[in-house]
Amino acid sequence: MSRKTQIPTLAALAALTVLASGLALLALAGGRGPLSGEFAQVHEVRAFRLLSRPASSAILREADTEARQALALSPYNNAARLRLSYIGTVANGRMTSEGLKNLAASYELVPFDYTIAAWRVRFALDHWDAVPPDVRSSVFAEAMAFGKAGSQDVGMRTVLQSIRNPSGRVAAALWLRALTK
Amino acid sequence: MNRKSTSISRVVKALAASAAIASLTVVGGSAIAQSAVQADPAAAQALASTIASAVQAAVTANQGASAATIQAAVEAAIAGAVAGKDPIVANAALASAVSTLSAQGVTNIPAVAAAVQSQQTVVLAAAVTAAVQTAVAANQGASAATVEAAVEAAVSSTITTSGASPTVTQTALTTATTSLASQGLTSVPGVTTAVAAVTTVVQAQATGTGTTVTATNTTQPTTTETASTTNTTPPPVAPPTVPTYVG
Repeated sequence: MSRKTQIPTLAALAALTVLASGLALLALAGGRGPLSGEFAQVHEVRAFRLLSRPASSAILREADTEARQALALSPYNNAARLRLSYIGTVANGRMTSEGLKNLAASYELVPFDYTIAAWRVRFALDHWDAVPPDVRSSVFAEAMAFGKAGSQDVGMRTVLQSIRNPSGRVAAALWLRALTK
Repeated sequence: MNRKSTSISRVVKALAASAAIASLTVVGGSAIAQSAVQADPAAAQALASTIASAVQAAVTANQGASAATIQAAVEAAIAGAVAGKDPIVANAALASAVSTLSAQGVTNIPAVAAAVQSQQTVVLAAAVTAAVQTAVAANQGASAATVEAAVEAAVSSTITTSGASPTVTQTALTTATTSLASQGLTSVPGVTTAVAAVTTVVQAQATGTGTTVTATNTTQPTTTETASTTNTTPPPVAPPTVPTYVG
C-alpha cells in the first residue's frame, strides 16, 4: 500500500471509530438500541437482589425505581412488570389497582409465558379474591395450557398444589381435578 | 466456531420456544373454550360499576353506624343492583366489583366483607343453577358422560369466575343442588355426579382436608434470566433454560 492510499484509509478508520462511539453513546443515553436490553437486565437484577433482602420502605422504593427503569428500557419484560405488582402488594399488604393493571397487562402482552407462568399463576391464585374475572380467565388458560402440556420447566401441577389463599385454593383444586381427568 | 455454535444454539432455542408457544396457544384456546359459561363482558362490566358504586355509597352513607347497619346497607345495595339480572352476568359482575372494592381497601371493613360474602352466596348459587341449566340444555340427547363433563366444566368455570371463599362456595353449591332438584334437573343422567364431584373438591378445601400446601409464601418473580421450575425462593442468576414439554 502506497503512502498516498495509507493516509485516506487511516482517516476513514478514524472517522468510523468516532461514528461507532457516537452511536454507542446514543444507545446508552437514549435507552434504546441494541444495548438497551442488557441494561434493562442490570436494573432487573438490581431490583431482584434488593427484594431478596428483608423488606423495608427504603428497599421497596429503590426496588420499585429499578423495576420501573427495567420496564422503561424493555417494555415486554413481564418479570419487571410483575415485580412492580409484587412490590405494591408487599408495600400495601394487598393487591393494589396498579398491581392488578400490571398483572392484567402481563397477560395481554404474553398470555402464555413460560419464563414467568409458574410465578404469576401462583401470585394470582394467592390473591384470587382481588383478581377480576377477565384476568382469572387468563390465569385459568395459562394454568391449563402448561398443566396439560406437562412442562417440567414450569411445574404447573406443583404450583396449583401450593396455593395458600382459600379462594385461590378452591379454583386450583378444581383445575387440578380437570388436569388429572 | 464458538460464536457460530452459540448462534445455532440460539436459533434452535428460539424455534423451540416458538413451537412451544404455538402449541400452548392451541391448548390454552381449547381450555378457554371448555370453560363453557361466559358472561357478556360489556354487561358484566357495566353491572360491576353499578355494584361498586352502590357499595361505596352505602358505606359512605353509613359512616359511624354500627357494623350490623353497614352490613345490612351493603347487602341491600348489592341485592338491589343485581336484582333481575342474568345470574351468570351477575356472578361475573359481583366478582369484578369485589376486585375493585378490594383494591380500594373497602372490603377490609369487616361489615362490608360479611355483606359481600352473604351476597356472593346468593349470586353464586343462582349462577351455578343457571350454568347447569345451560349445560343440560346444550347437551340434550347426549350421553350421561357428556352431560357430566359439560356440567362439571360449567360449574367449575362459574366458581372460578366468582372467586368466592370455600365456605361461601360450599353453601352456594348446597343451595344450587336444592334448586336443581326442585327443577327436576338432578334426575338428568350425569348432573348429580358432576355436581357431587365439584362439591367434594370444594368441601375438601372448606374443611381444610384438600391438597396439602407444600410451598412457602409467594415471593418476588424471578428475573427473565433466572426463570426456573420452582420460583418461590430467589434462585441464583443463571442463563435461561429451554423448557421440556412432555405430552
